[in-house]
Amino acid sequence: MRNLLHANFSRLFHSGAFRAALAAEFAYALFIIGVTFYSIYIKEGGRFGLEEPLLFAFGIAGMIPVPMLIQAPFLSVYLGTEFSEGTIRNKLVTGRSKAAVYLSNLLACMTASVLLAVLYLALVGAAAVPTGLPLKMPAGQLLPLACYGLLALAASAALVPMAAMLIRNETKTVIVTLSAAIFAMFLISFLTARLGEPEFTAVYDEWGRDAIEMLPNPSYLQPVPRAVCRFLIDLLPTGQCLQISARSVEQFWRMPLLSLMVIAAATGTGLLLFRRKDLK
Amino acid sequence: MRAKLSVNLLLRANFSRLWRSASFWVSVAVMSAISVFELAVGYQPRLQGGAGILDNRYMIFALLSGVVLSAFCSLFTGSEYSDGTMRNKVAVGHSRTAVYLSNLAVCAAAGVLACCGYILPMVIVGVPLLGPFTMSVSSLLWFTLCAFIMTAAMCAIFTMIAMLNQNKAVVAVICIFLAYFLLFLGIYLNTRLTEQAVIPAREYIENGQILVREAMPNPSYVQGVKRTVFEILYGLPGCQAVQLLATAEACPVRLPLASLGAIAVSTTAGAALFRRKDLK
Repeated sequence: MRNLLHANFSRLFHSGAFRAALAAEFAYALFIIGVTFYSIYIKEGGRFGLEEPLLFAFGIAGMIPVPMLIQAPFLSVYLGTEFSEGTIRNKLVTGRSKAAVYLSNLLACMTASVLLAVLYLALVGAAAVPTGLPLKMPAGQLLPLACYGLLALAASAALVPMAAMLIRNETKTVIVTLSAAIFAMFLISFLTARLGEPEFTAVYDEWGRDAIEMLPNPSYLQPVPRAVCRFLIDLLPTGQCLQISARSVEQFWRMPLLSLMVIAAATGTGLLLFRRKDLK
Repeated sequence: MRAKLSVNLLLRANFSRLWRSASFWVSVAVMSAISVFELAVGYQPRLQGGAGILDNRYMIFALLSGVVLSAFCSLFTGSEYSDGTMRNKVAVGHSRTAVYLSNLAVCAAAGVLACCGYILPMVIVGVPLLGPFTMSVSSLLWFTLCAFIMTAAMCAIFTMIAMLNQNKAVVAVICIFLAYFLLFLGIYLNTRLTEQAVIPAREYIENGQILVREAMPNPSYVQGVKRTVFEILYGLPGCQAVQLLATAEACPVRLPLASLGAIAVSTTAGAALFRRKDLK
Protein backbone atom coordinates (compact mmCIF):
# COMPACT_ATOMS: atom_id res chain seq x y z
CA MET A 1 0.00 0.00 0.00
CA ARG A 2 2.82 2.41 0.91
CA ASN A 3 4.53 1.73 -2.43
CA LEU A 4 1.28 2.29 -4.29
CA LEU A 5 0.70 5.57 -2.49
CA HIS A 6 4.28 6.65 -3.18
CA ALA A 7 3.86 5.82 -6.88
CA ASN A 8 0.50 7.60 -7.07
CA PHE A 9 1.73 10.79 -5.42
CA SER A 10 4.84 10.78 -7.56
CA ARG A 11 2.66 10.49 -10.68
CA LEU A 12 0.31 13.17 -9.33
CA PHE A 13 3.04 15.78 -8.92
CA HIS A 14 4.45 15.01 -12.37
CA SER A 15 1.05 14.98 -14.05
CA GLY A 16 0.17 17.69 -16.55
CA ALA A 17 -3.46 17.52 -15.43
CA PHE A 18 -2.46 18.40 -11.85
CA ARG A 19 -0.37 21.31 -13.10
CA ALA A 20 -3.34 22.51 -15.15
CA ALA A 21 -5.58 22.21 -12.06
CA LEU A 22 -3.02 24.15 -9.98
CA ALA A 23 -2.95 26.85 -12.68
CA ALA A 24 -6.77 27.00 -12.72
CA GLU A 25 -6.96 27.24 -8.91
CA PHE A 26 -4.23 29.90 -8.95
CA ALA A 27 -6.14 31.88 -11.59
CA TYR A 28 -9.34 31.56 -9.54
CA ALA A 29 -7.56 32.79 -6.38
CA LEU A 30 -6.09 35.74 -8.33
CA PHE A 31 -9.55 36.58 -9.66
CA ILE A 32 -11.03 36.63 -6.14
CA ILE A 33 -8.07 38.69 -4.84
CA GLY A 34 -8.61 41.13 -7.74
CA VAL A 35 -12.33 41.45 -6.99
CA THR A 36 -11.60 41.90 -3.25
CA PHE A 37 -9.03 44.66 -3.92
CA TYR A 38 -11.38 46.33 -6.40
CA SER A 39 -14.17 46.36 -3.79
CA ILE A 40 -11.92 47.77 -1.07
CA TYR A 41 -9.74 50.31 -2.89
CA ILE A 42 -11.59 51.34 -6.06
CA LYS A 43 -15.26 50.91 -5.22
CA GLU A 44 -14.48 51.84 -1.61
CA GLY A 45 -17.06 49.39 -0.36
CA GLY A 46 -15.37 46.62 1.57
CA ARG A 47 -18.25 46.15 3.98
CA PHE A 48 -17.70 42.40 3.87
CA GLY A 49 -15.56 40.40 6.25
CA LEU A 50 -12.31 38.55 5.63
CA GLU A 51 -14.17 35.26 5.80
CA GLU A 52 -16.03 36.01 2.56
CA PRO A 53 -13.07 35.79 0.11
CA LEU A 54 -11.63 32.94 2.16
CA LEU A 55 -14.80 30.82 2.01
CA PHE A 56 -15.03 31.41 -1.74
CA ALA A 57 -12.52 28.53 -1.80
CA PHE A 58 -15.63 26.35 -1.92
CA GLY A 59 -17.64 28.26 -4.52
CA ILE A 60 -18.70 31.73 -5.59
CA ALA A 61 -21.38 33.14 -3.25
CA GLY A 62 -23.43 29.95 -3.10
CA MET A 63 -23.85 29.88 -6.88
CA ILE A 64 -20.89 28.40 -8.79
CA PRO A 65 -18.96 25.46 -7.30
CA VAL A 66 -15.62 26.41 -8.91
CA PRO A 67 -13.49 23.78 -7.07
CA MET A 68 -15.79 21.00 -8.32
CA LEU A 69 -15.54 22.30 -11.87
CA ILE A 70 -11.74 22.24 -11.59
CA GLN A 71 -11.31 18.91 -9.85
CA ALA A 72 -13.85 16.85 -11.86
CA PRO A 73 -11.94 16.98 -15.20
CA PHE A 74 -8.51 16.97 -13.56
CA LEU A 75 -9.12 13.88 -11.41
CA SER A 76 -10.83 12.10 -14.32
CA VAL A 77 -7.82 12.64 -16.57
CA TYR A 78 -5.43 11.67 -13.75
CA LEU A 79 -7.25 8.40 -13.07
CA GLY A 80 -8.13 7.74 -16.71
CA THR A 81 -4.47 7.39 -17.65
CA GLU A 82 -4.21 4.48 -15.16
CA PHE A 83 -6.46 2.54 -17.53
CA SER A 84 -5.33 3.92 -20.87
CA GLU A 85 -1.65 3.25 -20.13
CA GLY A 86 -2.29 -0.15 -18.54
CA THR A 87 -0.93 0.93 -15.14
CA ILE A 88 -3.83 -0.66 -13.23
CA ARG A 89 -3.19 -4.03 -14.86
CA ASN A 90 0.54 -3.75 -14.17
CA LYS A 91 -0.13 -3.01 -10.50
CA LEU A 92 -2.36 -6.09 -10.22
CA VAL A 93 0.12 -8.28 -12.09
CA THR A 94 2.83 -7.35 -9.58
CA GLY A 95 0.64 -8.72 -6.80
CA ARG A 96 -1.23 -5.68 -5.40
CA SER A 97 -4.80 -6.31 -4.34
CA LYS A 98 -7.61 -4.53 -6.13
CA ALA A 99 -8.67 -2.94 -2.83
CA ALA A 100 -5.17 -1.51 -2.28
CA VAL A 101 -5.07 -0.13 -5.83
CA TYR A 102 -8.51 1.49 -5.43
CA LEU A 103 -7.76 2.94 -1.99
CA SER A 104 -4.39 4.37 -3.04
CA ASN A 105 -6.05 6.10 -5.99
CA LEU A 106 -8.81 7.38 -3.72
CA LEU A 107 -6.33 8.80 -1.21
CA ALA A 108 -4.32 10.50 -3.96
CA CYS A 109 -7.50 12.10 -5.36
CA MET A 110 -8.75 13.28 -1.96
CA THR A 111 -5.34 14.72 -1.06
CA ALA A 112 -5.06 16.52 -4.41
CA SER A 113 -8.51 18.00 -3.96
CA VAL A 114 -7.71 19.27 -0.45
CA LEU A 115 -4.30 20.57 -1.58
CA LEU A 116 -5.92 22.70 -4.30
CA ALA A 117 -8.28 24.29 -1.75
CA VAL A 118 -5.41 24.84 0.72
CA LEU A 119 -3.45 26.58 -2.05
CA TYR A 120 -6.40 28.91 -2.59
CA LEU A 121 -6.76 29.61 1.16
CA ALA A 122 -3.04 30.34 1.48
CA LEU A 123 -2.97 32.69 -1.53
CA VAL A 124 -6.15 34.59 -0.66
CA GLY A 125 -5.26 34.67 3.06
CA ALA A 126 -1.77 36.06 2.30
CA ALA A 127 -3.22 38.75 0.02
CA ALA A 128 -6.36 39.70 1.98
CA VAL A 129 -5.08 39.73 5.59
CA PRO A 130 -2.72 42.74 5.04
CA THR A 131 -5.65 44.81 3.69
CA GLY A 132 -6.99 44.99 7.24
CA LEU A 133 -10.37 43.46 6.39
CA PRO A 134 -12.00 42.57 9.72
CA LEU A 135 -13.11 39.04 10.45
CA LYS A 136 -16.87 39.36 10.88
CA MET A 137 -17.37 35.71 11.72
CA PRO A 138 -15.89 34.32 14.95
CA ALA A 139 -12.70 32.35 14.26
CA GLY A 140 -14.22 29.46 16.22
CA GLN A 141 -16.94 29.29 13.59
CA LEU A 142 -14.79 29.97 10.52
CA LEU A 143 -12.28 27.22 11.25
CA PRO A 144 -14.84 24.37 11.51
CA LEU A 145 -16.62 25.74 8.41
CA ALA A 146 -13.37 25.61 6.42
CA CYS A 147 -12.69 22.08 7.72
CA TYR A 148 -16.21 20.95 6.74
CA GLY A 149 -15.62 22.49 3.30
CA LEU A 150 -12.38 20.54 2.89
CA LEU A 151 -14.18 17.36 3.96
CA ALA A 152 -16.95 18.05 1.42
CA LEU A 153 -14.32 18.52 -1.29
CA ALA A 154 -12.74 15.21 -0.26
CA ALA A 155 -16.19 13.58 -0.46
CA SER A 156 -16.65 15.02 -3.94
CA ALA A 157 -13.21 13.70 -4.92
CA ALA A 158 -14.18 10.24 -3.59
CA LEU A 159 -16.94 10.05 -6.22
CA VAL A 160 -14.49 10.45 -9.12
CA PRO A 161 -12.51 7.19 -8.60
CA MET A 162 -15.84 5.36 -8.41
CA ALA A 163 -16.88 6.81 -11.78
CA ALA A 164 -13.40 6.36 -13.31
CA MET A 165 -13.06 2.74 -12.19
CA LEU A 166 -16.48 1.87 -13.56
CA ILE A 167 -16.33 3.78 -16.86
CA ARG A 168 -12.65 3.02 -17.57
CA ASN A 169 -12.53 5.48 -20.47
CA GLU A 170 -10.73 8.73 -19.81
CA THR A 171 -12.84 10.94 -22.08
CA LYS A 172 -16.16 9.43 -21.04
CA THR A 173 -15.21 9.82 -17.37
CA VAL A 174 -14.36 13.48 -17.97
CA ILE A 175 -17.72 14.04 -19.68
CA VAL A 176 -19.71 12.18 -16.99
CA THR A 177 -18.01 13.80 -13.97
CA LEU A 178 -17.99 17.32 -15.43
CA SER A 179 -21.63 17.04 -16.51
CA ALA A 180 -22.53 15.66 -13.05
CA ALA A 181 -20.78 18.63 -11.37
CA ILE A 182 -22.67 21.10 -13.57
CA PHE A 183 -25.97 19.22 -13.08
CA ALA A 184 -25.44 19.26 -9.29
CA MET A 185 -24.91 23.04 -9.49
CA PHE A 186 -28.25 23.53 -11.28
CA LEU A 187 -30.01 21.06 -8.98
CA ILE A 188 -28.82 22.91 -5.86
CA SER A 189 -29.95 26.27 -7.32
CA PHE A 190 -33.37 24.79 -8.10
CA LEU A 191 -33.76 23.19 -4.67
CA THR A 192 -32.59 26.35 -2.88
CA ALA A 193 -35.09 28.41 -4.88
CA ARG A 194 -37.89 25.99 -3.95
CA LEU A 195 -36.93 26.17 -0.26
CA GLY A 196 -36.98 29.97 -0.45
CA GLU A 197 -40.62 30.11 -1.65
CA PRO A 198 -42.75 32.12 0.83
CA GLU A 199 -45.63 30.33 2.57
CA PHE A 200 -48.10 33.10 1.67
CA THR A 201 -48.22 35.57 -1.20
CA ALA A 202 -49.77 39.02 -0.90
CA VAL A 203 -52.63 40.29 -3.07
CA TYR A 204 -52.40 44.07 -3.52
CA ASP A 205 -55.14 46.64 -4.05
CA GLU A 206 -55.91 48.02 -7.51
CA TRP A 207 -53.25 50.74 -7.12
CA GLY A 208 -50.69 48.15 -6.12
CA ARG A 209 -49.93 49.92 -2.85
CA ASP A 210 -51.46 47.99 0.06
CA ALA A 211 -51.70 44.26 0.62
CA ILE A 212 -55.37 43.40 1.04
CA GLU A 213 -55.14 39.64 1.32
CA MET A 214 -52.60 36.90 1.95
CA LEU A 215 -53.06 33.72 -0.10
CA PRO A 216 -51.29 30.38 0.46
CA ASN A 217 -48.47 29.92 -2.08
CA PRO A 218 -49.01 26.66 -4.03
CA SER A 219 -45.23 26.45 -4.65
CA TYR A 220 -44.47 26.44 -0.92
CA LEU A 221 -43.01 23.08 0.03
CA GLN A 222 -44.84 21.09 2.68
CA PRO A 223 -42.83 19.65 5.61
CA VAL A 224 -41.95 16.26 4.05
CA PRO A 225 -40.77 17.49 0.59
CA ARG A 226 -39.07 20.40 2.38
CA ALA A 227 -37.11 18.00 4.59
CA VAL A 228 -36.18 15.88 1.52
CA CYS A 229 -34.93 18.99 -0.34
CA ARG A 230 -32.96 20.13 2.71
CA PHE A 231 -31.44 16.66 3.10
CA LEU A 232 -30.45 16.51 -0.59
CA ILE A 233 -28.72 19.88 -0.41
CA ASP A 234 -26.85 18.81 2.73
CA LEU A 235 -26.00 15.38 1.31
CA LEU A 236 -24.49 16.46 -2.00
CA PRO A 237 -20.90 17.72 -1.59
CA THR A 238 -21.71 20.50 -4.08
CA GLY A 239 -24.61 21.59 -1.87
CA GLN A 240 -22.40 21.65 1.20
CA CYS A 241 -19.67 23.66 -0.53
CA LEU A 242 -22.16 26.17 -1.90
CA GLN A 243 -23.77 26.61 1.54
CA ILE A 244 -20.35 27.18 3.09
CA SER A 245 -19.37 29.71 0.41
CA ALA A 246 -22.64 31.59 1.02
CA ARG A 247 -22.25 31.21 4.82
CA SER A 248 -25.80 29.85 4.98
CA VAL A 249 -25.16 26.59 6.84
CA GLU A 250 -28.13 25.69 9.01
CA GLN A 251 -27.15 22.39 10.59
CA PHE A 252 -23.45 22.39 11.39
CA TRP A 253 -23.30 18.94 12.94
CA ARG A 254 -24.93 17.23 9.97
CA MET A 255 -22.49 18.24 7.24
CA PRO A 256 -19.33 16.35 8.29
CA LEU A 257 -21.42 13.28 9.05
CA LEU A 258 -23.02 13.37 5.62
CA SER A 259 -19.61 13.93 3.95
CA LEU A 260 -18.21 10.89 5.74
CA MET A 261 -21.31 8.96 4.67
CA VAL A 262 -20.74 9.95 1.02
CA ILE A 263 -17.07 8.92 1.22
CA ALA A 264 -17.99 5.57 2.80
CA ALA A 265 -20.82 4.86 0.33
CA ALA A 266 -18.76 5.86 -2.74
CA THR A 267 -15.73 3.86 -1.59
CA GLY A 268 -17.83 0.82 -0.66
CA THR A 269 -19.70 0.81 -3.98
CA GLY A 270 -16.56 1.55 -6.00
CA LEU A 271 -14.56 -1.18 -4.27
CA LEU A 272 -17.32 -3.74 -4.65
CA LEU A 273 -17.81 -3.08 -8.35
CA PHE A 274 -14.07 -2.75 -9.05
CA ARG A 275 -13.37 -6.14 -7.46
CA ARG A 276 -15.86 -7.77 -9.81
CA LYS A 277 -14.67 -5.85 -12.86
CA ASP A 278 -12.89 -7.75 -15.63
CA LEU A 279 -9.77 -5.73 -16.41
CA LYS A 280 -9.10 -7.71 -19.62
CA MET B 1 -14.14 14.27 -60.15
CA ARG B 2 -11.61 12.45 -57.98
CA ALA B 3 -12.00 14.98 -55.16
CA LYS B 4 -15.78 14.58 -55.33
CA LEU B 5 -15.42 10.82 -55.13
CA SER B 6 -13.06 11.20 -52.19
CA VAL B 7 -15.53 13.31 -50.21
CA ASN B 8 -18.39 10.93 -51.07
CA LEU B 9 -16.45 7.93 -49.82
CA LEU B 10 -15.45 9.74 -46.64
CA LEU B 11 -19.00 10.88 -46.02
CA ARG B 12 -20.33 7.36 -46.53
CA ALA B 13 -17.75 5.97 -44.12
CA ASN B 14 -18.44 8.67 -41.53
CA PHE B 15 -22.22 8.26 -41.69
CA SER B 16 -21.83 4.51 -41.43
CA ARG B 17 -19.78 5.09 -38.25
CA LEU B 18 -22.35 7.61 -37.00
CA TRP B 19 -25.24 5.10 -37.08
CA ARG B 20 -23.14 2.70 -35.01
CA SER B 21 -21.87 5.35 -32.62
CA ALA B 22 -23.11 4.94 -29.02
CA SER B 23 -22.34 8.60 -28.25
CA PHE B 24 -24.67 9.73 -31.07
CA TRP B 25 -27.58 7.63 -29.82
CA VAL B 26 -26.91 8.77 -26.23
CA SER B 27 -27.09 12.40 -27.45
CA VAL B 28 -30.41 11.72 -29.22
CA ALA B 29 -31.71 9.88 -26.13
CA VAL B 30 -30.71 12.74 -23.81
CA MET B 31 -32.48 15.29 -26.02
CA SER B 32 -35.59 13.07 -26.21
CA ALA B 33 -35.58 12.49 -22.43
CA ILE B 34 -35.39 16.25 -21.79
CA SER B 35 -38.23 16.76 -24.29
CA VAL B 36 -40.42 14.25 -22.41
CA PHE B 37 -39.47 15.88 -19.07
CA GLU B 38 -40.40 19.32 -20.45
CA LEU B 39 -43.74 17.95 -21.64
CA ALA B 40 -44.42 16.48 -18.19
CA VAL B 41 -43.57 19.83 -16.54
CA GLY B 42 -45.69 21.69 -19.11
CA TYR B 43 -48.64 19.37 -18.47
CA GLN B 44 -48.73 20.16 -14.70
CA PRO B 45 -50.61 23.52 -15.04
CA ARG B 46 -53.14 21.82 -17.34
CA LEU B 47 -53.92 19.24 -14.66
CA GLN B 48 -54.65 22.11 -12.27
CA GLY B 49 -57.05 23.67 -14.79
CA GLY B 50 -54.58 26.19 -16.26
CA ALA B 51 -53.17 26.45 -19.77
CA GLY B 52 -49.92 24.78 -20.76
CA ILE B 53 -48.14 26.61 -23.58
CA LEU B 54 -46.24 24.38 -25.98
CA ASP B 55 -44.24 27.15 -27.69
CA ASN B 56 -41.97 27.91 -24.72
CA ARG B 57 -41.23 24.23 -24.15
CA TYR B 58 -40.51 23.62 -27.85
CA MET B 59 -37.85 26.30 -28.12
CA ILE B 60 -35.66 24.96 -25.31
CA PHE B 61 -33.78 22.66 -27.69
CA ALA B 62 -31.87 25.68 -29.01
CA LEU B 63 -30.39 26.17 -25.52
CA LEU B 64 -29.59 22.49 -25.01
CA SER B 65 -28.10 21.54 -28.36
CA GLY B 66 -24.71 23.19 -27.76
CA VAL B 67 -24.23 21.57 -24.38
CA VAL B 68 -25.18 18.06 -25.55
CA LEU B 69 -23.21 18.27 -28.80
CA SER B 70 -20.04 19.51 -27.10
CA ALA B 71 -19.66 16.03 -25.58
CA PHE B 72 -20.68 14.23 -28.78
CA CYS B 73 -18.32 16.10 -31.14
CA SER B 74 -15.32 15.58 -28.86
CA LEU B 75 -16.02 11.83 -28.59
CA PHE B 76 -16.90 11.25 -32.24
CA THR B 77 -14.11 13.26 -33.82
CA GLY B 78 -11.62 12.37 -31.07
CA SER B 79 -11.95 8.66 -31.78
CA GLU B 80 -10.69 9.36 -35.35
CA TYR B 81 -7.37 10.19 -33.72
CA SER B 82 -7.33 7.61 -30.94
CA ASP B 83 -8.25 4.74 -33.30
CA GLY B 84 -5.80 5.89 -35.97
CA THR B 85 -8.60 6.36 -38.54
CA MET B 86 -7.49 9.89 -39.34
CA ARG B 87 -3.99 8.75 -40.32
CA ASN B 88 -5.38 5.86 -42.35
CA LYS B 89 -7.64 8.20 -44.33
CA VAL B 90 -4.76 10.50 -45.14
CA ALA B 91 -2.47 7.53 -45.90
CA VAL B 92 -4.85 6.11 -48.54
CA GLY B 93 -4.82 9.40 -50.43
CA HIS B 94 -7.75 11.47 -49.15
CA SER B 95 -6.94 15.16 -48.91
CA ARG B 96 -6.87 16.67 -45.44
CA THR B 97 -9.49 19.24 -46.48
CA ALA B 98 -11.83 16.42 -47.54
CA VAL B 99 -11.25 14.62 -44.22
CA TYR B 100 -11.98 17.84 -42.30
CA LEU B 101 -15.10 18.70 -44.30
CA SER B 102 -16.54 15.19 -44.09
CA ASN B 103 -16.13 15.21 -40.30
CA LEU B 104 -17.74 18.63 -40.11
CA ALA B 105 -20.68 17.54 -42.28
CA VAL B 106 -21.32 14.44 -40.16
CA CYS B 107 -21.08 16.35 -36.86
CA ALA B 108 -23.46 19.05 -38.16
CA ALA B 109 -25.90 16.39 -39.41
CA ALA B 110 -25.69 14.60 -36.05
CA GLY B 111 -26.41 17.93 -34.33
CA VAL B 112 -29.54 18.51 -36.39
CA LEU B 113 -30.66 14.90 -35.84
CA ALA B 114 -30.14 15.24 -32.07
CA CYS B 115 -32.35 18.35 -32.20
CA CYS B 116 -34.96 16.26 -34.06
CA GLY B 117 -34.76 13.85 -31.11
CA TYR B 118 -36.14 16.72 -29.02
CA ILE B 119 -38.58 18.07 -31.61
CA LEU B 120 -40.33 14.81 -32.54
CA PRO B 121 -41.70 13.89 -29.06
CA MET B 122 -42.57 17.56 -28.54
CA VAL B 123 -44.70 17.64 -31.71
CA ILE B 124 -46.09 14.08 -31.69
CA VAL B 125 -47.01 13.98 -27.98
CA GLY B 126 -47.00 17.70 -27.14
CA VAL B 127 -49.66 18.87 -29.60
CA PRO B 128 -52.33 16.36 -28.46
CA LEU B 129 -51.35 16.89 -24.81
CA LEU B 130 -50.92 20.68 -24.58
CA GLY B 131 -52.78 21.86 -27.67
CA PRO B 132 -51.41 23.43 -30.87
CA PHE B 133 -48.64 26.04 -31.06
CA THR B 134 -49.78 29.62 -30.54
CA MET B 135 -47.23 31.03 -33.02
CA SER B 136 -47.79 30.72 -36.76
CA VAL B 137 -46.42 27.73 -38.69
CA SER B 138 -44.13 30.00 -40.73
CA SER B 139 -42.65 31.55 -37.55
CA LEU B 140 -42.19 28.08 -36.07
CA LEU B 141 -40.41 26.78 -39.16
CA TRP B 142 -38.25 29.91 -39.38
CA PHE B 143 -37.27 29.59 -35.70
CA THR B 144 -36.45 25.88 -36.21
CA LEU B 145 -34.32 26.62 -39.28
CA CYS B 146 -32.41 29.38 -37.43
CA ALA B 147 -31.85 27.00 -34.48
CA PHE B 148 -30.60 24.25 -36.83
CA ILE B 149 -28.11 26.62 -38.47
CA MET B 150 -26.93 27.76 -35.03
CA THR B 151 -26.50 24.11 -33.98
CA ALA B 152 -24.44 23.46 -37.12
CA ALA B 153 -22.30 26.50 -36.25
CA MET B 154 -21.70 25.14 -32.73
CA CYS B 155 -20.73 21.79 -34.27
CA ALA B 156 -18.34 23.58 -36.66
CA ILE B 157 -16.58 25.21 -33.69
CA PHE B 158 -16.42 21.94 -31.72
CA THR B 159 -15.15 20.09 -34.81
CA MET B 160 -12.42 22.68 -35.27
CA ILE B 161 -11.29 22.22 -31.65
CA ALA B 162 -11.44 18.41 -31.94
CA MET B 163 -9.56 18.30 -35.26
CA LEU B 164 -6.74 20.48 -33.97
CA ASN B 165 -6.18 18.67 -30.67
CA GLN B 166 -5.42 14.97 -30.48
CA ASN B 167 -6.24 14.61 -26.77
CA LYS B 168 -9.91 13.60 -26.56
CA ALA B 169 -10.24 14.34 -22.84
CA VAL B 170 -8.81 17.86 -23.21
CA VAL B 171 -11.10 18.49 -26.20
CA ALA B 172 -14.12 17.33 -24.16
CA VAL B 173 -13.24 19.70 -21.29
CA ILE B 174 -12.69 22.67 -23.63
CA CYS B 175 -15.89 22.03 -25.62
CA ILE B 176 -18.12 21.53 -22.55
CA PHE B 177 -16.78 24.65 -20.80
CA LEU B 178 -17.08 26.65 -24.05
CA ALA B 179 -20.71 25.56 -24.54
CA TYR B 180 -21.67 26.61 -20.99
CA PHE B 181 -19.61 29.80 -21.20
CA LEU B 182 -21.39 30.90 -24.39
CA LEU B 183 -24.77 30.05 -22.88
CA PHE B 184 -24.15 32.07 -19.70
CA LEU B 185 -22.61 34.90 -21.72
CA GLY B 186 -25.81 34.95 -23.80
CA ILE B 187 -27.97 35.16 -20.65
CA TYR B 188 -25.79 37.99 -19.28
CA LEU B 189 -25.84 39.91 -22.58
CA ASN B 190 -29.60 39.48 -22.86
CA THR B 191 -30.04 40.98 -19.38
CA ARG B 192 -27.72 43.93 -20.16
CA LEU B 193 -29.09 44.67 -23.64
CA THR B 194 -32.74 44.60 -22.57
CA GLU B 195 -32.20 47.23 -19.87
CA GLN B 196 -34.51 50.22 -20.38
CA ALA B 197 -32.83 53.49 -21.38
CA VAL B 198 -35.03 55.45 -18.98
CA ILE B 199 -36.43 54.44 -15.60
CA PRO B 200 -40.09 55.53 -15.76
CA ALA B 201 -41.65 57.93 -13.25
CA ARG B 202 -43.06 56.22 -10.16
CA GLU B 203 -45.40 57.14 -7.33
CA TYR B 204 -44.56 56.01 -3.83
CA ILE B 205 -45.77 56.71 -0.30
CA GLU B 206 -43.50 58.16 2.40
CA ASN B 207 -44.73 59.32 5.82
CA GLY B 208 -48.33 59.06 4.58
CA GLN B 209 -47.68 61.38 1.62
CA ILE B 210 -47.82 60.38 -2.04
CA LEU B 211 -44.56 61.39 -3.67
CA VAL B 212 -43.60 61.22 -7.33
CA ARG B 213 -40.15 60.22 -8.55
CA GLU B 214 -39.45 61.70 -11.97
CA ALA B 215 -38.31 59.57 -14.90
CA MET B 216 -34.51 59.30 -14.98
CA PRO B 217 -31.82 57.79 -17.22
CA ASN B 218 -30.97 54.20 -16.32
CA PRO B 219 -27.28 53.98 -15.29
CA SER B 220 -27.26 50.27 -16.25
CA TYR B 221 -28.28 51.01 -19.84
CA VAL B 222 -25.48 50.00 -22.20
CA GLN B 223 -24.73 52.45 -24.98
CA GLY B 224 -22.09 53.54 -27.49
CA VAL B 225 -19.20 51.27 -28.47
CA LYS B 226 -19.89 48.96 -25.53
CA ARG B 227 -23.40 48.29 -26.85
CA THR B 228 -22.06 47.54 -30.34
CA VAL B 229 -19.53 45.07 -28.88
CA PHE B 230 -22.25 43.44 -26.75
CA GLU B 231 -24.51 43.13 -29.80
CA ILE B 232 -21.75 41.48 -31.85
CA LEU B 233 -21.03 39.01 -29.03
CA TYR B 234 -24.77 38.35 -28.65
CA GLY B 235 -24.77 37.09 -32.25
CA LEU B 236 -22.19 34.36 -31.51
CA PRO B 237 -23.50 30.79 -31.75
CA GLY B 238 -24.38 29.66 -28.22
CA CYS B 239 -25.12 33.23 -27.06
CA GLN B 240 -27.47 33.35 -30.02
CA ALA B 241 -29.60 30.57 -28.50
CA VAL B 242 -30.79 33.05 -25.85
CA GLN B 243 -31.51 35.65 -28.53
CA LEU B 244 -33.42 33.07 -30.60
CA LEU B 245 -35.64 32.33 -27.62
CA ALA B 246 -36.15 36.01 -26.87
CA THR B 247 -37.15 36.87 -30.43
CA ALA B 248 -38.68 33.54 -31.43
CA GLU B 249 -41.58 34.88 -33.49
CA ALA B 250 -39.57 37.38 -35.47
CA CYS B 251 -36.05 35.98 -35.62
CA PRO B 252 -33.94 38.56 -37.45
CA VAL B 253 -32.17 37.32 -40.61
CA ARG B 254 -28.82 38.44 -39.18
CA LEU B 255 -28.90 35.52 -36.71
CA PRO B 256 -28.63 32.69 -39.27
CA LEU B 257 -26.23 34.91 -41.26
CA ALA B 258 -24.02 35.25 -38.17
CA SER B 259 -24.14 31.47 -37.72
CA LEU B 260 -23.16 30.91 -41.36
CA GLY B 261 -20.34 33.40 -40.85
CA ALA B 262 -19.16 31.44 -37.78
CA ILE B 263 -19.24 28.22 -39.84
CA ALA B 264 -17.20 29.85 -42.64
CA VAL B 265 -14.59 31.34 -40.30
CA SER B 266 -14.15 28.27 -38.09
CA THR B 267 -14.01 25.90 -41.08
CA THR B 268 -11.51 28.02 -43.01
CA ALA B 269 -9.27 28.46 -39.96
CA GLY B 270 -9.69 24.83 -38.87
CA ALA B 271 -9.00 23.36 -42.32
CA ALA B 272 -5.97 25.63 -42.84
CA LEU B 273 -4.45 24.67 -39.47
CA PHE B 274 -5.34 20.99 -39.94
CA ARG B 275 -3.43 20.91 -43.25
CA ARG B 276 -0.26 21.94 -41.40
CA LYS B 277 -0.84 19.63 -38.45
CA ASP B 278 1.61 16.81 -37.74
CA LEU B 279 -0.61 13.72 -37.45
CA LYS B 280 2.25 11.63 -36.00
